[in-house]
Amino acid sequence: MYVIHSRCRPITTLLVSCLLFSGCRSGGANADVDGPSSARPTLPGPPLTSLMLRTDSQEQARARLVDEATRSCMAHLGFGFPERDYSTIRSSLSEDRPFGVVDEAEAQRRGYHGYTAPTADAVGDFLASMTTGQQSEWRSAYAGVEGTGGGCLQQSLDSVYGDFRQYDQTRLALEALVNEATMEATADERVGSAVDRWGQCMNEGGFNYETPADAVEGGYAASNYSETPSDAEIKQALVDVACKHSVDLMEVWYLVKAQYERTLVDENLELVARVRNFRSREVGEGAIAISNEP
Amino acid sequence: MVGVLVALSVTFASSVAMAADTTGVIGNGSLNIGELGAWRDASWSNSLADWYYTVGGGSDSNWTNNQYFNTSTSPNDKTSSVHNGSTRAVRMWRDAGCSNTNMCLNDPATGASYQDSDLANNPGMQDAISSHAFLALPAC
Repeated sequence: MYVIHSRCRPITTLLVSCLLFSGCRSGGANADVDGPSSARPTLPGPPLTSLMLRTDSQEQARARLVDEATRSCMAHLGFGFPERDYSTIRSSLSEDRPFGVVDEAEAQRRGYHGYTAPTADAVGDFLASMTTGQQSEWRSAYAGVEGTGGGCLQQSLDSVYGDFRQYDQTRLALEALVNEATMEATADERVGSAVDRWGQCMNEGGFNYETPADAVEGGYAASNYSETPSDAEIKQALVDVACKHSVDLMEVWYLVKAQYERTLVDENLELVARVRNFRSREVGEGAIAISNEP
Repeated sequence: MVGVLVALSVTFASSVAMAADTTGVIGNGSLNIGELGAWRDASWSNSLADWYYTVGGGSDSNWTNNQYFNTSTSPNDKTSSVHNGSTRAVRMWRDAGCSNTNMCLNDPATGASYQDSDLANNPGMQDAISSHAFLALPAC
């Protein structure tokens, strides 16, 4: 049985300490979706969630592998395929985000506002110089029959994963398990108790919310749902992050969620093994194995 | 072998796509190529909200201030089926700000998991989606 030590430091003390020291702990396992991966302190991730997350560098390695295979396929059919700057690619899921913002630097930068859309489109730029007819031919070679695949994209994914559809079914099963653990952990009384303490802390900081999700909605409302966060939203998000750390909400969360996930791991060992195999293929190990086959 | 591109308009009514949300009203009531669609009911039925991918745009980290086309109802916490017709994978989250439980749909060109006809089968997502983001790559 886990023993959870809770402490609710005064909010003003915590805010000052966060401003003085850059080491306010992150609840994430890695990076923000549009921030650098390496700059963030980490907590140990629950086992299934950790399997689902990708770092930016892992995502970049996967993109490079898929692009190389796609380029080769397209060249074989007489079409080009663009180069791209892989350093700009960010993982879509580089950290677990159960309660919105949990990092002070992120809160300061963008309040509660989430993911920033990719600003580069190498394929779109590549196609822009073509006529409509050329684009259609290129797209047919790349995509095959829409929704069914069979084009160079699917072939390249198959070359990386062995069988992309099999990978995709495995990925979906993993997502469902992680979501199941998230729902169970959210309903757990230990997390509920920590959320209550967080609410008290927020109240002391001048904000009245029952849950962190309510606070996120309130933050957006404070910005009138603008695409950019207002000073009021950022101010609230900073208090929110400080309160999460003050009551150890994220520590409690990861402890409880990991407990549920360990049970699910024990019940799904074959799935976990399949995910690990696919993950190794994403960084090139699968491609090496295939090339060594007789 | 190279297949033939079959436009999504075969399945969904086609008309001119609109840009991402700027007014609180989403899309034009039809799902066009390049868009993410979210429907009120299962099997892609009832009211539709759709977002068009553009470079640097089309993502929406809070659905609260949007409305299904021609309605005063927000798709926030009310979506039962989804379809991704864009050239990017798209991830959707239960809460605003891209947080809590989530799911990912591929680019249809991958030939796999680019739509979900009934989110009731997906833990934590039925009548719950509140934010989404178009991703850099076509595969989840």
